[in-house]
Amino acid sequence: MERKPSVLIVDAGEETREVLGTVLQRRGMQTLWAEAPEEALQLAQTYQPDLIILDLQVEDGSANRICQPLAQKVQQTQTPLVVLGRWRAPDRIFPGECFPKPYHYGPLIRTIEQLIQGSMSAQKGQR
Amino acid sequence: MPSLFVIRGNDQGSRFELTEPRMGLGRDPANAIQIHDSEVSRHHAEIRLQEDRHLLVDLGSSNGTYVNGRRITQAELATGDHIQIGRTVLLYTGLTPEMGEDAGLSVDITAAAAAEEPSHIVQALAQEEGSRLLDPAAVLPPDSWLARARSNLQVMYRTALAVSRTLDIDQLLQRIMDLIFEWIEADRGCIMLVDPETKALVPKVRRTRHKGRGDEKITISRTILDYVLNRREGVLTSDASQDRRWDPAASILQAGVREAICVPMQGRYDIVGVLYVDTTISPQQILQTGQETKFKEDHLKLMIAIGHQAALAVEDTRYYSAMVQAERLAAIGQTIAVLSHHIKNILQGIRGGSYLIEMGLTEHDENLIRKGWNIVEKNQAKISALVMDMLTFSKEREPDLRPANLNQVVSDVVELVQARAAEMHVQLTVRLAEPMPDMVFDPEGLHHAVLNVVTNALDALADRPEGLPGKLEIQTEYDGRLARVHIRDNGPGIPPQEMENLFRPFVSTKGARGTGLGLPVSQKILLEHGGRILVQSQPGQGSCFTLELPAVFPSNGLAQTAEH
Repeated sequence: MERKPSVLIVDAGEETREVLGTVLQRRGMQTLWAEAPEEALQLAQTYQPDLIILDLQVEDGSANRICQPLAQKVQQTQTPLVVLGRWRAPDRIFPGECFPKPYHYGPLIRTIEQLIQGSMSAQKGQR
Repeated sequence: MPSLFVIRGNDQGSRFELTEPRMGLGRDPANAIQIHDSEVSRHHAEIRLQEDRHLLVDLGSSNGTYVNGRRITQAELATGDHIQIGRTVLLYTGLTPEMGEDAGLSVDITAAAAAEEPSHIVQALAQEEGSRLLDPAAVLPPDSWLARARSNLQVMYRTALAVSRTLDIDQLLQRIMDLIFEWIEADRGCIMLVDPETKALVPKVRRTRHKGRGDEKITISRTILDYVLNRREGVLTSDASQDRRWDPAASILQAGVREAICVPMQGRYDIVGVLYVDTTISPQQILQTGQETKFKEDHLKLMIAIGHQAALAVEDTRYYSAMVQAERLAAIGQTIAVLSHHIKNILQGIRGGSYLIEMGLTEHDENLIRKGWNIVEKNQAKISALVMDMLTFSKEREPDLRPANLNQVVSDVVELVQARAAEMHVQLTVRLAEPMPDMVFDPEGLHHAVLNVVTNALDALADRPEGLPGKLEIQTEYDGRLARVHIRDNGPGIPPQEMENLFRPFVSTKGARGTGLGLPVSQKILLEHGGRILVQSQPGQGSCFTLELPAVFPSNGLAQTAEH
């Protein structure tokens, strides 16, 4: 049996958590939660999720600074990253997509599914 | 129009025009000049118009009324006076003297092309010469005009510095003209300012010494103005030609001599305008005194000095207005940024909720619909709370004062937050003072104020370290003079650097959760009641907010409550 794709969701607000959790689980995905980017780094190391979603609560420079290490990490492992909010760093170093708020859930979910498919087939190819 | 301008305090930036013969100052909304300052009495002071002067009268206020730092019971106001009541400082600008000649209509600048220019420059002096006049080291003949003038001039300088305190440029220029006329025997004078945008000279003030000659136009030659502006030098001109001057039989005895002084208003960086005065010496005067000049080099020096002072004052006034304007724009920008961020988050929540509802409808899953609907409802509540806060904060809303009971208001709030506290495993303790008499206040306003502070306390408790049992204590207290609501939590407390921004609108430390309006709104409501909010906080230990409300009793209940 094929394994369930896993998604790590970082720093999401209560409502985003509820919506994303419900929708992704119903689409057959496994969801992992991390409170802060530091915790996310650990979880990403341990569980090697197929995709990471990062919810930027505050859209100023400080959020980018905190999330930079996570972005570098996903760049190394080529894990796609979906950022909810505006990523203001001059260059986007990570593979994935940005969804400035307020975003629509339809396109977001479609993008997540596409990225996961790509990520999983790449892993298969490596094996 | 005479006015009071708030330069410090909660109402900073507000301007009150003194339109009525009697205007009250105080915390009470019934005052024409309502001051939102808890240290100001309800009816603190009154401004009365007596003939053409304003009188400030203290109405037996508890904290006193101060004019320029001195406590007064009654004082006549002069322009530039600083009035302090409580923590609020107001700047008084008085009546403009009746000199309102329309400068624009009565000053002509003749073009350089008009070749038959009767006046020529007799003398020119650079800017620095003016200040040398005040140099105490300058050696002067003991009984010279200059020696006599110098001591007086220093007085004039002090006066000039004092007038620089006004915020109204027109009034400032009027005062400068007063000074010039006091010191120089001029018949007519005008002040022109360089328009900051078009760079053209615009006549601002015009004055004539002798009534009846007021409708005479002042004509100033463009050549002379250009000379003054380009070379930054003051000039003394005369229309008496050199030839005529030495010829007693000449036409000078028929027409007299017109002399003028025109000096640049040299500010710190640039020329802001020019001062111009002229005088006519009649044939009779020339015959009587044998003198055919009134203006001398000393007059020119004096005018240059006045011009410099005037320019500094004009610049100061402009910079101050520009600063106030810039501050306002910055505040508007910040407000919009915070509001749009908050609204964006609410919209995001609604989109999430609707997505779940849509999914539930497609999949015929009522649970999913309910889940989505809850999210939509929550955000609906958020946006209506935001709108209410915005209205309370922005509108000059009159509190709806009626007899009510503070214990009842607090109990209503407790009922609202009980569920959330239980959900968060926060132990909620309520202690209500007995007896708590009915008092006159705006129960809805107070409900709002208490709810905001209690919600903040719960938000703070959400951030407490794991394992620490959360405690929220709400207590009312009444001592016959004041009623208080204490709201204590054992949350993380407020870092000292955040204390000063607590009541600043749109400053929130709650990220996406806070609008930064809760505490400012609560404070505004308490201030409207003549009360205040006190904060004590110990980082790591928790915070205690105290809402303090002066006890005002319903008039028919006065006798009975006075016993307490």
